[in-house]
Amino acid sequence: MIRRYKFILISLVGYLLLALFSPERLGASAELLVGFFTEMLQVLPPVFVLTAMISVWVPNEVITKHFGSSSSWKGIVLSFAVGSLSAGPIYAAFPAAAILLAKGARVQNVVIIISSWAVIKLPMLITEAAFLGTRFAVVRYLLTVPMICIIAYAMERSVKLPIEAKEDQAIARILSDLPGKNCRACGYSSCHSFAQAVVQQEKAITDCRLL
Amino acid sequence: MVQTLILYGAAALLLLLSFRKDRKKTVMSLKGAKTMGISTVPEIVGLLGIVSLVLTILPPEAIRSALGNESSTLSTLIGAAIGTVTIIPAFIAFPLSKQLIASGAHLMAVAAFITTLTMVGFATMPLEISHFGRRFTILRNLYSFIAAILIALLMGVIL
Repeated sequence: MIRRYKFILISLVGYLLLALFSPERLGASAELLVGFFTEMLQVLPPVFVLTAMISVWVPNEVITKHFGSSSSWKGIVLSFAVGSLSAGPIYAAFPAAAILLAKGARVQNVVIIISSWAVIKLPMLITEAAFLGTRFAVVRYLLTVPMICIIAYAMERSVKLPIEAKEDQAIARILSDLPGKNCRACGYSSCHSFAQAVVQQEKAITDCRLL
Repeated sequence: MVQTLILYGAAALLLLLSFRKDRKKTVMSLKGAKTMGISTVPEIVGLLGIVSLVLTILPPEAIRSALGNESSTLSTLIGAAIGTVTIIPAFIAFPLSKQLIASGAHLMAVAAFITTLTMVGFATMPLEISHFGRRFTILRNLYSFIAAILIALLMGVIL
């Protein structure tokens, strides 16, 4: 529980120190913060809803077919499309990409989605061209696309996540969010088996009685 | 703005369709979305708080002087490094980059700065680790950092 809030605590302490030693800078900081929060609100809620709907509605086989190990260049093109058509900063890509990985997408395509989500955006290209010149922006984009492919290929070679490992990881993540009292109120014999049920989507984490 | 509308519109439309087809599954989706929110939003808010704080203490002027270095290779490395450790929203990053070039920063350094700014993130690493694990996160950020420098060097050759 505390782990989840540690960054908030750290930043609160930071702001307290700022208020004590340099209160005139609080205004600038608040302005930045408002900008970040607006960006977050514009993107995160619908991305969460869409991701959760993918996880409930789209069968694993479909993901495996289009993004899995047998998806060749089509999977690559599709991943670029998903990433560049999505909106928002890179941290919004993580939950969506993680769901695809858990549902059988290959590492290479997940990396393409994350990278192109962060970098390849039409509105951003237009803004960049407006400020830095069309030539600069276009050349940078043309170089970035093949680089992303190379990064993705390298990641595919160096990160091998067997299905079990992925599931263990997901279970561990859910376990860390549970109270860990093994109270059995949810109907499972332990928090671990409840977490397993959440990973297999038989239960939602909110079904935990103590949470 | 348009993107936000499309995103919210798409989510609302699909929710409506989903609700018409299967109520239970729709409720499950919403529960899932709520769980995702509960488990990631506090971390994101905290990280953004820290980033805003750092950007307040380390204003754009400091970045500008760091990128105006004599050596273009050194500036490129510094640009990539600064882009790595900061998250700057695009609405600040592009005008800032323009100023950087106008005040004598190297094109390559600015290219490296913009590329790492978006693709590599120190600040978002804890979030990435909680979704993909340590090895994936470190390698992806490392490869992207190297790629950003290569992109910058190639831009120096082309432009």
